[in-house]
Amino acid sequence: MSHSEDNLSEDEDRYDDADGGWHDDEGGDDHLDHKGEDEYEEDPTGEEEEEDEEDDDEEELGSNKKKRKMRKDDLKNKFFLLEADVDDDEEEDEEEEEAMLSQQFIERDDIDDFRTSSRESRRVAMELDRKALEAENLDAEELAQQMNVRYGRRRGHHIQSDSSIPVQYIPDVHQPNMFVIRCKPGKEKDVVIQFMKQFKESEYSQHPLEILSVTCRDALKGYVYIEAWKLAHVQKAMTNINNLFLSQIKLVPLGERTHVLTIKRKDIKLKEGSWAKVKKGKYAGDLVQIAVVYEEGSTEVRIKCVPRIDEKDAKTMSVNPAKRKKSISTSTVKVYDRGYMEKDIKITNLNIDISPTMDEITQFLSATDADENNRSESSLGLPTKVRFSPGDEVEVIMGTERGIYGIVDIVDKDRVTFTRHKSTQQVTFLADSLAKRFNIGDHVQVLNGSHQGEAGMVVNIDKSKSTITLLSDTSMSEIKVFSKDLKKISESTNGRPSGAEYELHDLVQLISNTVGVIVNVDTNSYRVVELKDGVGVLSTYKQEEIIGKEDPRPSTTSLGKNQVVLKVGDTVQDSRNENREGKILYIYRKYAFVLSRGGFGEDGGVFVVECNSLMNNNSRTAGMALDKLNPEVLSAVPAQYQNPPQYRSNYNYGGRGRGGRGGRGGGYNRHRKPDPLIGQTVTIIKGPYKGFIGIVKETTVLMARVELHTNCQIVNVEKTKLHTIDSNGNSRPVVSAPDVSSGRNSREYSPAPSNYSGSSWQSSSARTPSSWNGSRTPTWHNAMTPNTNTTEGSRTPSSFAEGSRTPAVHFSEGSRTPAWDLDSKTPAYNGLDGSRTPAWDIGSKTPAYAIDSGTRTPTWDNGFPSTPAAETPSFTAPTPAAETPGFTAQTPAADTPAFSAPTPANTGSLMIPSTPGPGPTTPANFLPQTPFVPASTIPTGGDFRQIKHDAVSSSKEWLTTDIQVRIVPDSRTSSSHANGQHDNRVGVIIRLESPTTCFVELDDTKEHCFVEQRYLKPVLPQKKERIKMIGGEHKGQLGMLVGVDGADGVVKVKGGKDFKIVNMTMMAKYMGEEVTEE
Amino acid sequence: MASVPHNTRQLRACLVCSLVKNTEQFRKEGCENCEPFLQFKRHPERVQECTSTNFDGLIALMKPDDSWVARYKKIENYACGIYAVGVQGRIPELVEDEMAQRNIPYIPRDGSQNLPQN
Repeated sequence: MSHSEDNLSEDEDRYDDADGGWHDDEGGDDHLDHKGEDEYEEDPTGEEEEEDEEDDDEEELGSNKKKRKMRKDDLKNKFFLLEADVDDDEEEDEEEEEAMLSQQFIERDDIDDFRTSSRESRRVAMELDRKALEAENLDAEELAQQMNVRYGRRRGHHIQSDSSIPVQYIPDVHQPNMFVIRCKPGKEKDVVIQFMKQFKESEYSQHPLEILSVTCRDALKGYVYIEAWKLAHVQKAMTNINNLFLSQIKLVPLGERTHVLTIKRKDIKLKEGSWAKVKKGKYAGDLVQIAVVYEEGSTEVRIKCVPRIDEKDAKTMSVNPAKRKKSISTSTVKVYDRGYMEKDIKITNLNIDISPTMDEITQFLSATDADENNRSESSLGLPTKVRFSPGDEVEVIMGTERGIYGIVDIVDKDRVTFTRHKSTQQVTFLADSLAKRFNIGDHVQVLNGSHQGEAGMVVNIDKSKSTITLLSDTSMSEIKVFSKDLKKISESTNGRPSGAEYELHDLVQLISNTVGVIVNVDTNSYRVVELKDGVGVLSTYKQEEIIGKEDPRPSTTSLGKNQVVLKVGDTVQDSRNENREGKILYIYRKYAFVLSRGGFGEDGGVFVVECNSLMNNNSRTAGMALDKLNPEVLSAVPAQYQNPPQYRSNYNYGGRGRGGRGGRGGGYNRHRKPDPLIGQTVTIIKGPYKGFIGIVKETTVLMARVELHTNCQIVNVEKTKLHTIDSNGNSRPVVSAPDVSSGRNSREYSPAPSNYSGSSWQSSSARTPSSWNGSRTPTWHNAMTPNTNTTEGSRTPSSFAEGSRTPAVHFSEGSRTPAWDLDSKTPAYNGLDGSRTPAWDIGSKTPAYAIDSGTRTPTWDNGFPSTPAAETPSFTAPTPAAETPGFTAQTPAADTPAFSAPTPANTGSLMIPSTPGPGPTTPANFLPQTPFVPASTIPTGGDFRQIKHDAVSSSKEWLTTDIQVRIVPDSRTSSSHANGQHDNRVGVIIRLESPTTCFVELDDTKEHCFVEQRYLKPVLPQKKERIKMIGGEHKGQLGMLVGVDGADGVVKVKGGKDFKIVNMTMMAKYMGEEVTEE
Repeated sequence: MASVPHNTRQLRACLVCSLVKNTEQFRKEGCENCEPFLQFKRHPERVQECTSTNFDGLIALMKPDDSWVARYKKIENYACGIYAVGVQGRIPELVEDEMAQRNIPYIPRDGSQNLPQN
């Protein structure tokens, strides 16, 4: 408590000694503050925190009359009484002190009394307060009194707070709540002001705002803090405020409330002679030196800077001498000192926290024509802030302890603790008094400045100015830098200078067509131990002379002496030279680059040895005997040459089994890398995990182990069921469908991957089943260029093998976009596609299908009457005649879906990339088509029908035997067969009378009727039903409908193993005896 | 009730009480809390000296008596209005002396006297 008394007297001094004593007291005051703050932080959950707010108020008020207090206590419950008893001692003291000071409490005490007595009376108090404030027309005396009250009371607080934790500042549960609300970043201030305006407006309305305060901080972007008793108040208040995110209201935890309101004084301590950079204005970015620091508290300092010639001034000067005079007279105080300009600048406009390099400073110093001798030496005096890091060797350069050095252990802002050399004593110094320590002869590297990255040897040290002169390794010239900008490095350059593309011990391909290992890195040049005729030769290369970094393959192994397996990283010994031993850095062909242990020579310790003369230190004894057994084996073929073919064949074997990855095989032959699939993100397109995305962990020939993103589960999935996802979000089958033919067409094939999403439909997919829609492609291809039919044929088996997965692939893309379905309906498509794959029908099961087919149905009805002739155009399409509208409309339609499907967004522009595609494939056919393509790629239902009708008109005869038909009224003439008595009856065509008439055996009555084609409609087959083709190139063929996809059916044609995709209008339910499916 | 700034431009904070207003408002209306001794209305040049544009944060103080924020920032006895959380700078010594003469303590708002005091 004595402490408190001291404070009191001090405080009184302060107030009494009004004139001039302010500043002197300041220090003491600060001290107290800090003390208090510490206390506060140490015990934030002090017992006082638990007190009721009324109690807080009480303390706040300074309960100057014990009587009053007692009276209040009577009114309150026991709890408060007890509480009061607890810290009675302390309070009593306080009260006495307060009593002296709180004489001034006059009118407001009553108000306060009200306020403290109960929460309800708060409002009354507020009302009174407001009235008091409203009384603006008070005379001066009253005003003075008011001021006294206002500030006098504060004094009471002061006293209290000094002796104990200032309860009123501790947020507790009895204080109003603080809520944090998100707002539009940058609008915090507006929001706060808006709230205030709102409050002002609503103050005398029926529903005044009930919140207590709104706070924002510059540092807390996007947040506004509202103080209120209830959340509802906040919500109500927020309704009319813009830029608030209403949904996010959170309560600020008690402990964090003070952080919102606490500001830290930026304690800027400037020293004369230190360096700074100007933040803005004409001299923004310039290095300046602090010339004069004014008395404390000043917001300005005098800086010394290199004057910039103002072009504007210069111009006006030359033009108008009168103005010149004026400008001089108006210009602020600028003093020039030996060429430097000195001017006052606000501290806030300076960036103090900089660390200029020697160049900058020398530039600063040399910028003026100041006397050579006079400058630098004198002004370098106070260099810059040094940032030490643990491990640095430092030396004390100032004060009595000068000369002490050691290794830095801890860096705490400005304090550096280091262990003294040759002792365990730890000493702490201010960073200012320390410098990095180097010895003459040390090999160092420059960290900052224009010499950055250069390495050299220390030749001179100027301790007083902490500058060091070093002899550059590369330029052999002397460089003077600050010790702070240096780093000690080991003899061979460990570092990697900036700009250097290669690092020490990189295996690089050299311009002389050899490889080498970098043993020393200099600015723009490298010392390389290169492998020349089986020996390591040390030579220097410029960066341009290095072609590139060889891909180091850590898995590479080789056989060493005794047929021991050598790997990168093994410790080996040269059997021919016992002294040479080290660690294998790289194995290149039959040579190994070995880094000798600790040997730093010219060659940086790297030497080249033939693998077979290397002994693995770890297995030397074990391998001895073997050495004699078959020495030839080793020398003849390094293991690494044996392995790849093996691997390759394995790989391809698997590939073919799957339908071939042969086309791409070449890619893998070069590098013996693990399956590139590993690590890729894939999506599973079939099976129970369909739709899951995961990363491939392991692969076998057929299977992949995929770690699913969702639950980190690893599942085994056939590779055929995987699609990789590239960075654009496009997916592509993991196992594409290349085959023999793709090998043949390797030229076309190669672009396929890149074409995949773009123009593949024409150029690559047409030829190469390897792309997404392998199974379809051949047929399409067929259609385009009939003469390639033979090749197609030969390809079929393989493509069939692919079939099961490719269509699935296709499906997964296609089904996503209606566009695909639309297009695929075109007759051309059907006509072309003889074969469909079974997987197709998987696609057809999706909802997408259902929707599509629904919309399709009318189309189908309309289009149905199309006869085989309808397809003819499409078939012939690829020929020059193909330019008939029918063709052009159809062909692109058939193709586009496939590629447009994966990315609907492409649909609009997809034709652009594809346009060039046709050129290479069949120029004659395609080029004329191109213009049509865009038109037909965006087909609408209407367009499509249009096309259909054209086809229908030219193809009328579809009747064939053994198909189920339904007798319907002719839609065009509205006439019915036999006056409609057979309408909607179903029968089977048993005999054709003419291409357009036939005998139908009605199913129910077995009656035979002679019906014209126009009264008949083929019965649409259902899935798994036998069908007969009634149109298209496969007309007359039997088969089984495996599935339906939109307007298309997937048909397994009798006798073939192929699946074909045929428009549903081209088939009818087959009722004949012939077995269509085994 | 102190007047509310019209906008967020040209805002200045009183170095004594940290009230925030537009420069113009200070000049015309003075500082609602400190006008008796700062007398901005009579000495408009003082606005430059005794207010600062370099302040941090805003507090819309609606109910000074109830608000913990107000208590914490020691503005609980002031009028409703917009206040700054912190203001860089100090009033000129002359003004400080004047305040001292009137027995009005000066609390720097620059964060140099953080909790707990006064």
